[in-house]
Amino acid sequence: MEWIYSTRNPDIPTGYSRIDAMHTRCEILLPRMAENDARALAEAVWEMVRKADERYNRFAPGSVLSRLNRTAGKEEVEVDEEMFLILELCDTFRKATLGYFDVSVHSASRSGGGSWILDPARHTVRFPREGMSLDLGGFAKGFVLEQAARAVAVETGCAILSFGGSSTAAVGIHPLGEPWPVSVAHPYYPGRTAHTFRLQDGSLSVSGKDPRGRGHIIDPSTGNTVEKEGFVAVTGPSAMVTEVLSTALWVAPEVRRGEILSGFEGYQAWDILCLTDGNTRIMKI
Amino acid sequence: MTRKDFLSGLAFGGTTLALFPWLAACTPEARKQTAGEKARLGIIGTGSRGRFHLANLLLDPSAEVVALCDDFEPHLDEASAMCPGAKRYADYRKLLEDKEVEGVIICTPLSFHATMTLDALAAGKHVFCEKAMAHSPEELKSMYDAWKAGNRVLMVGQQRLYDPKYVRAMELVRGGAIGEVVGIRNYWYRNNDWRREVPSPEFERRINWRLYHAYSRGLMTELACHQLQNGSWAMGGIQPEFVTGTGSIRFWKDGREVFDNVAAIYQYPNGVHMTFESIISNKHFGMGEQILGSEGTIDLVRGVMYSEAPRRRSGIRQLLDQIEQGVLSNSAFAGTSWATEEASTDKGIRFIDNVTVNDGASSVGAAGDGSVELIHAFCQAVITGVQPETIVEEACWSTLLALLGDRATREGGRVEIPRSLDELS
Repeated sequence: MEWIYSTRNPDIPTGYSRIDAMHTRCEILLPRMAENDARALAEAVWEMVRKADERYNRFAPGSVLSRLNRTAGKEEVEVDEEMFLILELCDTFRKATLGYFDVSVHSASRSGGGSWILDPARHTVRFPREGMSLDLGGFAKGFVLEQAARAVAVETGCAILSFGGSSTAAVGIHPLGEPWPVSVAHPYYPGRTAHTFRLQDGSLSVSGKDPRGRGHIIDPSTGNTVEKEGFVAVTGPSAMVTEVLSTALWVAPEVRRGEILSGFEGYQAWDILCLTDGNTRIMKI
Repeated sequence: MTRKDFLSGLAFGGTTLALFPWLAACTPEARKQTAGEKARLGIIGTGSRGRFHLANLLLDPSAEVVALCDDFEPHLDEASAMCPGAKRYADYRKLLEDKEVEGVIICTPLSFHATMTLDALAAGKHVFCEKAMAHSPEELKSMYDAWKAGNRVLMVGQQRLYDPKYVRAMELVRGGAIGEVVGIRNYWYRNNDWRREVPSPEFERRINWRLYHAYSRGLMTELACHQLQNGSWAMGGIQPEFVTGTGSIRFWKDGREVFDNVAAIYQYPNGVHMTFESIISNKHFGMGEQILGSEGTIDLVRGVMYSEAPRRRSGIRQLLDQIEQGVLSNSAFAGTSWATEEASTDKGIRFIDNVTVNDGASSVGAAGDGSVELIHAFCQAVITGVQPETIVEEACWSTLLALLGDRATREGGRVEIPRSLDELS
C-alpha cells in the first residue's frame, strides 16, 4: 500500500493511499483526518477490496467465483450470503437493463439463455446449463466501491475514492467547500478535459472504448465487443448502480437507453464523444 | 471514427472544413447537390495508374468514362476491355477535341504532364493530373499561371489530402495535440528494381520512363512528392527556405539514369527540418511518415499518436497536490478502465479506426489511401465547376519541393526555395 500523509496545507492535512487490485489502480483521499485514523481507514478499505478481489476474480482458480463457475452448471452449489446477494442483484439488474447488463456474457456456451436459479431458503445456485460462467469483474468493482464509500462515510464526511478512474465515489464535498470536481480526460489531448462532473455524496462511472485499444465490453445481444467510439458516463447515489448503468447504456442501442435509464430514479447519463479536433460532443441520455 | 463515418460527412465540423477547405465537396450537402449527375471523363494514359483510376471510376455513380487515350496499344486494349463503351484515341489532342469530354484524367509520364494539362485547360476541359505536377519548376509555373488565368478545375493526384487518416492527423497537429512541431521524418524503402516488363527493347524508355531523366525525376517526384506534402500540411502552409541533398546509383546499375537511393533535408524558417530518404534495394523499414512534436509524435502511416509526456499523476493524486496548494480546480481522472501499471513505453493512441497501413510497396496505388475519395471529388468538381480550395497550391508546393530536392541531390549543395509560387520562374 502506498501511503502519503501531507501537511503541506496545514489547514487541510490529507491522507492519500493507493493499492493495485481488481486489475486496476485503487486510490483514496482522506482530508482533515488525523494520520493514524486516516491510515487505519485506508487499510480497512483496502482489506475490503483485497477480499473482494480474491473472492470474485474469475481468473484465480481458488476464488469463490471460479469454484461456482466450475460446478454450478452440473449441480446446485451452496454459496455464502454475500455471493447470494450479488447473484440476486445481478439478476435484478439484468432484467432492469433489458438484458444489456449481463455478467454471464463471457460464457463459453451462450445457447439456451436463461438465468441462474437461486434458492433463497437453502442459499444455493444452479446454472441453467453447463458452459455458463459469470464474470463479476465490473460489478464487483462497483459493489465494493459502494461498500467502501459507505464505510468511509461512517468515519468522515469528506473523502473521495477512485478505482482506475472508471469508477469514482465521493463522500461529502471537497475540503475547499464545493462538490468534488471529477473530469473525463480527453483521450487525444493530454491534460485537456472533455467534461467535468461535480460529485457530492455520489458516484460517477464511465464505460466505453479507449482509443488506445479495442473495445472490451461485450454486447450480450450479439456476443461481440462494442467497437464504437466514445464513452457513457453515469452519475448517481450508488457506485454499484452507476457501474451497472454505464455498462448497460454503453452496450444498448440508442433507442433503448431512455427506457433503461427511466427505471433508475436519481441517475443521470451522458454520451461523450471526444473528437480529434479537440472538441467534445456531449449529449444527455 | 470509422472510414464510413468520415466519408458520410458525419464527422465533419466547421473546424475540419476551415483547416481543409478542399473537403467541402465531401459533405453530405455537397453530395446531394450532385446526386444523379455524372461527370463525363476521358482518361489520357491507360497504364497501371490510369487503369487504377478507371477501376475506381467505374464504381463511382458520379462518373461516366466516355473516352480513353494511349499511344501504347496494349494498354489501351486493357482499358477498353474494362470500359468497352468508351471511345478510343491514340492522340490526346483528338480526345481534347471531343465535345462529350468535360474533364480529363492525365496519367502519363511526368514529362508530358505540363503540355497535356496546358492543352486540356486551353481546350476548356477540367483537368485531373497525376502527381507530380511537372517535370521542372518552369513547367510548374506555366501550369499554375494557366490555371489561375482560366476558370477550369485543376486537381492533382495528392491523395493524402483526402485520406481520413491524414486529415485526422493534421487536425491533431493543428490542435496542438503534439505541442510544437519540431521535426518531420519521411522515408520510403522498397526492394525492387522499379522496372516494368517491356515487350521489346524499343519500348524501354516508354514503359520504364521513371528511370530516365528525360521523363522523370526519379524517387523525388514519384515517391517524395507525396510525403513532402505532409510537411507543408503539418507546418500550416509555411514552406521550407532551402533544401540540401545527395543521391547515387548504388545497387541497380542497369543503365538507369535516376538514383536508386536519395536523401534530402529541407529546412523551414523556424529551424524545423523535414527529411526524406529513399532506398530501393532494402525494404525492411517500408514507408514511414512521422510528425515530431515537443509533446508527442504522430505516425501518419499507422494512424497512431504517441505521447512524450512522462507518466502523469492520477487524478486523485493531482487532487492531493491541489489541496496542498489550497487550489480547487478540475482534475481529469475519469475514463474507461486502465491497466494497473501503464506501460513503460507508450503504445500510442489510434486516432482512427480501421486504418489501412500502406507499406509503400505498390507503384500503382493502395487500398484506402484516399485515391477513391480524391477521384470522386474531381467528378463532383467537374459537375459543379467549382474548384476545391487551396488544393492546387498544395499540389504545386509538393511538386516544387520534390523538384528542388531532386536538383539538390543531383547538384549537391543548397538549393533555395521561393517564398511564394508567384516568385517561381
